[in-house]
Amino acid sequence: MRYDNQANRIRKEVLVRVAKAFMSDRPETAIDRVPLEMRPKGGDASRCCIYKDREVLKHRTMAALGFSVEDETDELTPLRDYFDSALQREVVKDTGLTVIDIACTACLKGSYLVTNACRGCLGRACQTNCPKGAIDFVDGLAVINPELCVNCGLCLKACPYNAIVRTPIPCEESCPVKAISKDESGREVIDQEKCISCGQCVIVCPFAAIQERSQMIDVLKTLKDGRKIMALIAPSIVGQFPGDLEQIAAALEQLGFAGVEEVATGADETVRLEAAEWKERTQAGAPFMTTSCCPAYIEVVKKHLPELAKFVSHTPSPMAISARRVKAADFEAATVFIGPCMAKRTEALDNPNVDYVLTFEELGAMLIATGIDVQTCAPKAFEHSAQSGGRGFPVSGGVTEAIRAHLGDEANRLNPVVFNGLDSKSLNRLKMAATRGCEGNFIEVMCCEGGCQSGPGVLCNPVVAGRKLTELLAVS
Amino acid sequence: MSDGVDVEICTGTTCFVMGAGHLLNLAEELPERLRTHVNICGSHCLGVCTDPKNGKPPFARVNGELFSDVSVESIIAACDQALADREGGCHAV
Repeated sequence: MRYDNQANRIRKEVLVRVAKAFMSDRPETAIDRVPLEMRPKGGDASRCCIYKDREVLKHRTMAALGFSVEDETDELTPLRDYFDSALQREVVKDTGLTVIDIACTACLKGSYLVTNACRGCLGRACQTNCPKGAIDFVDGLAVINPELCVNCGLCLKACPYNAIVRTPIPCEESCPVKAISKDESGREVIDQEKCISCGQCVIVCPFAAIQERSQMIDVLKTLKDGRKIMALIAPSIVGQFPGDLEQIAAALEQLGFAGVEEVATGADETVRLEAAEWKERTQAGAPFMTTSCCPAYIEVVKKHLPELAKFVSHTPSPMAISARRVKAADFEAATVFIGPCMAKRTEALDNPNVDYVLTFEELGAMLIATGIDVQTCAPKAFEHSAQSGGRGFPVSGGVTEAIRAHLGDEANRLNPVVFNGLDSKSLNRLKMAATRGCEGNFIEVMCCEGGCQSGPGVLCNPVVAGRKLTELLAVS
Repeated sequence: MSDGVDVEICTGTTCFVMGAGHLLNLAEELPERLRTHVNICGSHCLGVCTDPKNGKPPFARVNGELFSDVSVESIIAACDQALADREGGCHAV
């Protein structure tokens, strides 16, 4: 249950409550009461007591309003003040992920731990096999000295009672670029110079201590103000809500969006441009070209693999193409990209055509707060419908397939290599490609394993969403 | 009453967003002992989420009985219980 757990549900509940508060008659009071209502007097606590829970929830509410923990200069500042300044915000400037320090439980540093299953046996295979002499016996039981332990794991393999366990630090292990680590208090801190905003840490943290700064309030305000606002829905939205694509479009219009654009149409254009660029580059002697649609991968190149930059396609991402089209048709309209991705916020920050980015979680919260049931919406046909190539983008290998189909007869020259998810090993392989060459001439990179359908902001089991997409592609 | 256990997962937007979207692969995640006994179906909004007394979404009905804040594990436990009840208190595994 990588995505669905109580930590994840609490984060979504906060978003729903914030959206409901925004729509209520007395939003300031409602916002102030979010932590109290989620942890009422006499109710159960998740942590030591309801008061600590409420303090954590206050910070979650701040994140839902678009603020980070660092924005708190005075602990007495009530949530209503943050709400008011969120409403004053004209543009989104800061998007980085943030750790709620008091929610971080400061996971044990030593990765290996002797449990009480230790029998203090005569054999002491753990001690015998430890190359660093890190195991002592205290009161007849094995204890690992964290100062000497090098995390080799030999003791775990040696113990005949399985008494030694490995306790990982989920966020640190999931981060492909080692951007999150402990400070002197043992709590995690994100190094923004290294972070690629992929959101893997957000998915795995069992305490939901890592939050992103939501832009939901900005979108709700724009909708309320009556400004024309267009929804740009990512190809991966298929299966993320009940009902079909045209019903999702109808639900968005009920929310107040003036129109809905399938970003898969932008992806269709990305395919045409990228295929042409690949032909041109390889004919001119370039050894290979990589895709450019995954924003977390683009951040990887910028921050960690600059040597790869010259091999990255210059073709704009599907979001960039769709947003440009929408703005060209009406410059005054605000644009909101809605997807599964946290790194898209970073990409949007540098793109004047994209005003806001929402995740499926945030859109879900808005639908719940307004009481819109997607399944009961009458389908709304799209002005421009996408083709199967663009609609197939959110699955690992989908971009490659679309390029192959577009190339037609020339596809026999295409020798693709697909990076399905990024971790430190695949990052090394990418580095090798840049410095020593690559076995293929077309590299597709998606930071999330499985593709965008497994992104940090998804609402549906990726297997089920995948099945729904396959059904749609069959008729596209 | 049918021989098996009927599981109805609410796929109204509220339940879907709050976690039902992750339960829709339940048929494949059921343990072997339950596979032949459980019939799973999605349901349009059950209409129970508007009353906080019913608990938190996502909701599901197992043989007609309402369960709140469900997960794959809690539905499996409810199915086991329903089978055990039918067998007159014996564990039907």
